[in-house]
Amino acid sequence: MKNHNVINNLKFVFGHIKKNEKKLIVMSILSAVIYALSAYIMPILSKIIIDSVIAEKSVKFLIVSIIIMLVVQVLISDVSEYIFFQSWWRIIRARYSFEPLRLNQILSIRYDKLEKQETLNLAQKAAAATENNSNGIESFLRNLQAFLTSGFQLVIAMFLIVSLNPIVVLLMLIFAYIGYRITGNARKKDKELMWDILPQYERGRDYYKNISKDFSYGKDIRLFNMQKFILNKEKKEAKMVHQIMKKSNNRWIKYSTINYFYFLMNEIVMYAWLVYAVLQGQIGIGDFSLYLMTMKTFFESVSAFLDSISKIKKDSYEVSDFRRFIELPEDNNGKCLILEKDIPVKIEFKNVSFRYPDQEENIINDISFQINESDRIAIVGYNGAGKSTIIKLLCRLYDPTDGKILINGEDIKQYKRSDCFRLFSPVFQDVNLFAFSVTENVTMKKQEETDHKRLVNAFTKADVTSLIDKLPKGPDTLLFKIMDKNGVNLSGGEKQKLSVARSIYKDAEIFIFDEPTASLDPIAEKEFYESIDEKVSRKPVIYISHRLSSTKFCNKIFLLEHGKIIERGTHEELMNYNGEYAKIYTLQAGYYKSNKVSGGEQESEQA
Amino acid sequence: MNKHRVIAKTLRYLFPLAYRYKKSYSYLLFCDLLLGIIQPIANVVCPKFLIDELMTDRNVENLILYTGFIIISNIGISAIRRIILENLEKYNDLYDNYFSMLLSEKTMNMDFYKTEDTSVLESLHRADIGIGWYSGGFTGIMSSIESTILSFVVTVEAVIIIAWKAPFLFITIAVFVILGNIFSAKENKISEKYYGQLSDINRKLDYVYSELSNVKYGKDYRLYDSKELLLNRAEKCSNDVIDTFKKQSNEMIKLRIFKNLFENLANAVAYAYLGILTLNRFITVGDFTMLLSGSLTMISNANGIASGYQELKKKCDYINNYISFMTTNESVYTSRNGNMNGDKANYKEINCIEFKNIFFKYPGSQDYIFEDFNFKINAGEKLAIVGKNGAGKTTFIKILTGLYKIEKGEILIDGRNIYDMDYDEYVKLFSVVFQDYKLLSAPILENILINEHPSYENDKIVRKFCEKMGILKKLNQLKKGIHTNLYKNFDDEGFVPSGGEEQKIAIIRALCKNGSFAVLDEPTAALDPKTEYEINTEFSEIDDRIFMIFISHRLSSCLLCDKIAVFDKGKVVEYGSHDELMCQENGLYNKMFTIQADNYA
Repeated sequence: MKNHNVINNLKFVFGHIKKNEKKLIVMSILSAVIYALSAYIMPILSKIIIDSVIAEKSVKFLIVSIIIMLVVQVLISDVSEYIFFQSWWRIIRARYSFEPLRLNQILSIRYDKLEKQETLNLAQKAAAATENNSNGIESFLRNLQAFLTSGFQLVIAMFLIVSLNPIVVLLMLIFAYIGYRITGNARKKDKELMWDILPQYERGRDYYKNISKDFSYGKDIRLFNMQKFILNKEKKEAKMVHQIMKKSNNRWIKYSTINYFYFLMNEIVMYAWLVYAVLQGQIGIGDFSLYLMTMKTFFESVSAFLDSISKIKKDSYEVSDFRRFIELPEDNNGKCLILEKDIPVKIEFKNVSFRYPDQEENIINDISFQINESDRIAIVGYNGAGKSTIIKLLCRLYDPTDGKILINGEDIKQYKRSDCFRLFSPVFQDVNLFAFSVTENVTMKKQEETDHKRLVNAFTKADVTSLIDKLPKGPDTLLFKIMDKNGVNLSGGEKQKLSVARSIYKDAEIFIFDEPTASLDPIAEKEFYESIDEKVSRKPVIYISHRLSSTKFCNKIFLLEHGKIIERGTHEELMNYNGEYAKIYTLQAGYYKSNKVSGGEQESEQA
Repeated sequence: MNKHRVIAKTLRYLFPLAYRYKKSYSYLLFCDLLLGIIQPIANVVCPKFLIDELMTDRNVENLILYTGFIIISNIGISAIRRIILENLEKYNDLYDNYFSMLLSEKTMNMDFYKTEDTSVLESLHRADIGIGWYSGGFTGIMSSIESTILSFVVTVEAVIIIAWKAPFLFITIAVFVILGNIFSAKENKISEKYYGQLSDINRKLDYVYSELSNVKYGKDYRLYDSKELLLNRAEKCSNDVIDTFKKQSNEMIKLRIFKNLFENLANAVAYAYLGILTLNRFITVGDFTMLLSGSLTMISNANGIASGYQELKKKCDYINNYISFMTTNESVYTSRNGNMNGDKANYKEINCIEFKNIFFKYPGSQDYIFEDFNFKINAGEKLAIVGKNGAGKTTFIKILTGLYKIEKGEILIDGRNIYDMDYDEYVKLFSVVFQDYKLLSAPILENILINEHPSYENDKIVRKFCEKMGILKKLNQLKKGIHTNLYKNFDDEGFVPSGGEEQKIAIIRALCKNGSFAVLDEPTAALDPKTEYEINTEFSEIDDRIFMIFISHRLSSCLLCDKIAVFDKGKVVEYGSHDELMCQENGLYNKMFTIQADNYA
């Protein structure tokens, strides 16, 4: 993908902020002018005073000019302070106005794309462009300000001194440029030899740093006496980081020594010419100090100007990263058939296969089945058989590589993706709850959109009412301690139940339960399965489970192996068939038979 | 606390540690300070001679001499200070790491129960950021001190120069400077106030913008259509930040107006006073420029004293969070040195461990987990502990392993109270695999051996256990065998084990530790039954262990055990072999086992 150039990025950034930040743009230009002027007011006034002292003007003249200076100076500094503070927070606001673009992309981009390392890297870079003031967008805006300010200063200083001696100006420009190149070189070296390689060592160091302070490692650290081990690792990685940074410091010592040589040259030229000019009677003593200050400002502003250009280039590069992420193509929605709400759906997998684009082996291999009203379907099999992938295909998080998935007879690809998402109430094995209120975690909608009747119903059916009653603020209690210091932490079992409540609240056409009882005790587990009908009424349910005992009651059981359904039927049918399913079932049942304790016997039975 | 004492306390704590660690830093900093003191003298005084020379004799030699002196003192000293600064910067990460590692060490050695106390977590967090970027760490404090001293000394220099020729001027300036400083002090208070608010807001912001962008939430957002909720929350958070900055800006602007006024008044007074003196020929034009720049130096540096001091105080306040964490969280165990040093061999011949009238509740909680709890485990027993969620099973293990201390009662190993033993030695008794065991992104062998150096013998032992747990073949297939890195965080060729393999490695780590107690605290919940059963079986067959304890919701593991203890509400309600407990028809064990087993009927 192409990199946008600076002008293009300028258009992009201002195009986005111009509606809300008109004041900021005006302020930036104004402040650049005022800052530039203010740098010269002091020297000019002090020249007038010195001249009046030398020329032995009256005390009255002196006092009047000092009062004028005072007023002008106070006004200018107040105005520029005002603008500084007003534009300071406005720039931050401008930066935050870009965040929704990034978040929206994360929330809407196709899931299979989001999972890719390539997209994740891009997303990370986009985040870096908006997350602080020293990178990307905010830095871009601030350096543009610096560019304008130093540019104005430069122009004014040029006017003041170029008429006196263009050669001196030229020399100073050359020195400033050389200094800029030297610093640029040092920065480039720093990037290659430090910034590009440092993160990997820093990550290593921070990994151990964080582990030592991560209390979830506390038990293992104490019981395995890992303290010294971790500290040594931390020390080792920190040493690598130090070596790299030290080298960079040494480089800067070298470069700044060279740089100071040019500063020295610059000062010599400056003073030599000024002293010479005074001796020649070209300028007076008052002018001497005026020009001295002006030349210093000139030199500084040339350096600042060049510096701001190189920083803008860097920032623009990061803005491009941001744009590349948010400009990733939207999902192609196909023909956009509209899926009616609240009608029963029939879903059919027709010879569906799936593999990741960059892989050769199919994860799902030629699978066909139907989901009808009030179906209870179990997908069983060992870890890694492809159970979760089927669910992702079903929910349209993935699209099949071959074959078709039909919803009410139409290809799933004809529908809007978001319509497909609407059809499912899933409970995933890796339960994700958010640092929001309990209610929001269940409804997944803004607080004001809560349907309270449905919410109470979901709490009751998921058996969390008593849990929620115990919380300090009931359903308004915030989870975790991030948003609220009095937030609560839930146990694994409680989280799982809340996630079940979430699925019941949504009450979609099809329920999906992926190992919903892994952290429940046997009695709670039994209760969960016994009350399924109550929870979901006659809607179809799909279970994923390791334990064949919990899904015996299903009317369709699919045994998955290497992405293929190798056996299907009811529990009885599969047991009678006496194939792989029966074998696994007997094996699992055997674990509960007291006369087959020894492992040796188990293995012989398997063989 | 008195604010002057904070600074003294911080220095008393940090400086000796830092000086012992690296001495050269302090000397370098001192050199920089000296140069910083000299530089303004040259800058203020030298131009006087140049101008006086220009106004009078215009002797070329003198002109060159003075100009040369100005340039050299300007550029030369700046260049040297720059080099010193670069050298000083080399210490930043050294000291940061040093103090951070002291904190790591402290954290890892403090009593375990504190790690489950959220207030300790918070104070650790405060300590961590207190010594980190909030304060700039030790070097941040030192550079603050240097710049405050520098401002002070330079102000004194300027005052001396002014007092030399215009003694009353500095008094007038001082009045305005003090007035201006009142407003700087207010300004500092404001920024401190908002800084405090921001740390709270930033935590939320970080969660919403960084954590919630994590791909692992992707499924939930999409299938529960929660885009609006997220964007809305993000907007709220950023509005909070912007509002805070806006309020801060508005408050600052008002103060700045006054501060500017007084600063400029001080300037104007200097101009007027000196101008009049020059007009009346009390001083030369050269004196005029010297005294003027002396006055300006005094004004800007005097402001620096107050703000520098306040900055220093603020930094010390942050660092104080670190110091108080380092000095208050003394471990109970380290102060309770046992008397079992020297006779470690005895541990291997333990006959029984007895829990006598145990009372225990979690710190800060009202409800007792164990009230008058009694239990005894004999050597050679394979014990299963079962019970509902929240019955106290894991708490029992935490007490057994000494992670928590009981309130009342005794835990006796062959009649000896465990709290009389040296904790480091006591911990060696246990080979535990917790439910939430953790492996590190480091080579597999290092994960297993931890502190022990790899040798021919322990390499053999590791391989033996790997073979027993059935993963030796898999590990040998890896490019670097058991030296392969675990996970891909730092190594693209790292080995990402499946859930079962991960657990096996954790178990091998525990076994290699060779403790007298082997404990499996439900580490197999997410595994398929076959893998779980294999792990449990293999574990139970490694029979040179004296005590063996299983905790699991999958009661099949009970069949591998000699004795089963059923925990309910902090009591052992049933105890016996599987067959004995199954005979109690109304028993909890019978009920739970039947529920799971019946499904397989």
